[in-house]
Amino acid sequence: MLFNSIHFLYFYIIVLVIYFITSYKYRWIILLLSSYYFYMNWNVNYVFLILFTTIISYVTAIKIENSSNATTRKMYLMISIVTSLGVLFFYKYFNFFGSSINSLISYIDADVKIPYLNFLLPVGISFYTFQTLSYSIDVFNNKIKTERHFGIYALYVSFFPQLVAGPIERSTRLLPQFRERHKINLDDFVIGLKWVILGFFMKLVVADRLSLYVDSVYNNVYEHTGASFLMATFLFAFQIFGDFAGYSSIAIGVARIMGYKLMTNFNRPYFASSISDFWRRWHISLSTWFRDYFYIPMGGSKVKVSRWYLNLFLTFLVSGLWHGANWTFVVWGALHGIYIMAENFFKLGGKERALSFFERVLRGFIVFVLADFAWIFFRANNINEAFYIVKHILNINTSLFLESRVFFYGFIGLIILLINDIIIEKSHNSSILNNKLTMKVAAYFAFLVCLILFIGVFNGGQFIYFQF
Amino acid sequence: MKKNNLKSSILFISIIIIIDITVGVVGNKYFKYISFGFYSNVNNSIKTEAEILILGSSRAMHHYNPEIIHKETGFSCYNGGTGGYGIFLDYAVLAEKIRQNKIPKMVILDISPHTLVISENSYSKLEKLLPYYKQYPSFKEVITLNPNFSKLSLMSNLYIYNSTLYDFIKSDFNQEFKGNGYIPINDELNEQTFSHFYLKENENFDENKRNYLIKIINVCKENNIKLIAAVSPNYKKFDLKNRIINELGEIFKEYESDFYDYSDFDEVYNKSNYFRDQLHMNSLGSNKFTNAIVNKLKPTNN
Repeated sequence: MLFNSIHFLYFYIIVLVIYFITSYKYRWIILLLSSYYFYMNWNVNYVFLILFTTIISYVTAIKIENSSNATTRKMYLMISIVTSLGVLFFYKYFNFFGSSINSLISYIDADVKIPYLNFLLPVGISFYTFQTLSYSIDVFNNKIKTERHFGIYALYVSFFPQLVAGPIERSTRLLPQFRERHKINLDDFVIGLKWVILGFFMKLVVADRLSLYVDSVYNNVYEHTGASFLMATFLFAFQIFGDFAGYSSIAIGVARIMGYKLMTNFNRPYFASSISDFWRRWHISLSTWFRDYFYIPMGGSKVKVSRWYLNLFLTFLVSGLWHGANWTFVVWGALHGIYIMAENFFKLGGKERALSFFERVLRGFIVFVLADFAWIFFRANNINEAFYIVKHILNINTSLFLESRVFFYGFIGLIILLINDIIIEKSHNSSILNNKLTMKVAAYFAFLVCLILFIGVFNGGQFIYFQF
Repeated sequence: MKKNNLKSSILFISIIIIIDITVGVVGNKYFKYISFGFYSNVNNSIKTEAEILILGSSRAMHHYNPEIIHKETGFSCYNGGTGGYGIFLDYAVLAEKIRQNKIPKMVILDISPHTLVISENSYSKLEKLLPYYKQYPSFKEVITLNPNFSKLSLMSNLYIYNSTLYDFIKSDFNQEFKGNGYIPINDELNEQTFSHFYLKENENFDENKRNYLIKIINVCKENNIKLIAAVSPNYKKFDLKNRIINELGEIFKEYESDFYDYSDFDEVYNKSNYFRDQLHMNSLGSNKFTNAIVNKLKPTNN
């Protein structure tokens, strides 16, 4: 079930009504059932997969907490990690590694072949796997107490607003909220609605419109030339931002209306003044996850310089692989790893010092160009096409594939998004979204609703990050 | 604070309603005069008072030259073929013309090989007709064939006129009605433009499309419109040809209406210089074909 479907609207209204008329004590049941129903709309069978991961991580966490023996605790942690990652590997990476190994084997003429398994990737598997992993690791590190109520824990893993594409919530933040008594609150409703409207604007007006151009070019690479590659790559930077930040925004809003506070996942990433700053603003829930559960456990920056660089590079490489089982994502992650290493080597990142306007704009432009270059690999259908684009993208003395309508509507959306982000960036505290409704803000959001209805794309389909 | 929230909420809703109503009023008044792109095509097909109206998809648009028809029959002729559309739009346009009393003497209905085949695309494309939803009853009828349009969204004028701003801006509202709707193709078929149109052996036919074809036949009969239905030439034999032509033949026979199969018209069949691709003739081909079919129209002149 997609957020941008009428089916979801009906589903959500029904859930909301039942949720608020149900006694506090039983609300978790409503949310759990609706979350499983929400998930079953993609594939009924995969609900057993999420249930399996939930049971394993639930039981092992209790075993970890109950045991005082370090080896036993470690063993249960390993069971939890290996099971969760095993399921993820099997469904997401088996065919990828299988076909890569087959290609290697073909060079030595061996008569062995790893079979291709024909199944669909379970939606949101990377997201809920990471959520269960962080829970198990936090329990192991005594950062949190285990959740003994299986229903509430299952809800933490499957909470429908953020189940399929994040934000990847931490148990310390989300679990306690399921025990809070959420009353119908006008402020929450208004704030939530604003997040939802902004999310739909980003998805339907910006992302889905720009995708019409980007898809035409990237899905027919050999029929296009440099100027079109350049335009499509420029537009993809905003398509992916609108798509993913839009989803996160809707998720935050949908949860907030029910009284739940999810973490902010995007902070205007294209205003970043360094690559490190970009990663503090882009997919924050994932980058902080990798920081806390991968980079720091490997030693982070408190190791020899060469090892520190390796830690940085590996973190981004694995993050790239997390996004998808394709060499394009590996290269995308590696590129960001190289950017970060270079930035640290030349001491260009780190804590932000006061920058002049000119310096900020210049650095912002460079960060955008670097990030956008890496997006080529993220978007391309395969590694050969990505390199073909890279090879030809600067041949701009070629004819540009024109899609006047996409440009017209897309640039209206982009200009409004830019103004919106400048206002929020300047206010430092997301005031438009999180403060109470003033007349000006009400008029602004009414205008956004009208734009969504008037120039939004309503048959754009699913969110890009569902495939991860 | 509650009072402030209430005031702001009322403002929020009021702005949406006011803009929605305004868009509805402007749309209802001016949409029929749009003279750009797809909507210009539909508007002109409804507006034209030509005696012969050609309906159908892009094949109709590119295959029938109204100048030749006018020269040979003496009747004024307008080509209302619309790329990517078929029976549903043909019916909606014809029914609306009749409602507006702009009844042609004759309709040439071009039937594409895939006209009767089940295709989800035929229904999703109805989205583009939404601006006519509240204006023309026959359009409302065909739009609702797609169950995905919720009644809730169809209440909003902003939604109905979604993505039409560009057409509004590009339109010249003072422009006189001009042109005859025919768009000739100048390219010739080559390896790059050749694409075979595939149909599966067990392809089922769409009952809705069959019913709307019959509706067109009946509407023409009721209004004394001479209906000539034809499958215009293809470059090569299309898949399921026998099944499709038999099915169409039976329908037209049952309702005693003229139907001609020109799909393998020997003057152009298999000759690449008369085509741009498998389904579309260039102007050379369309002139040859129009000269041929015009003979079928002449008897009505007597």
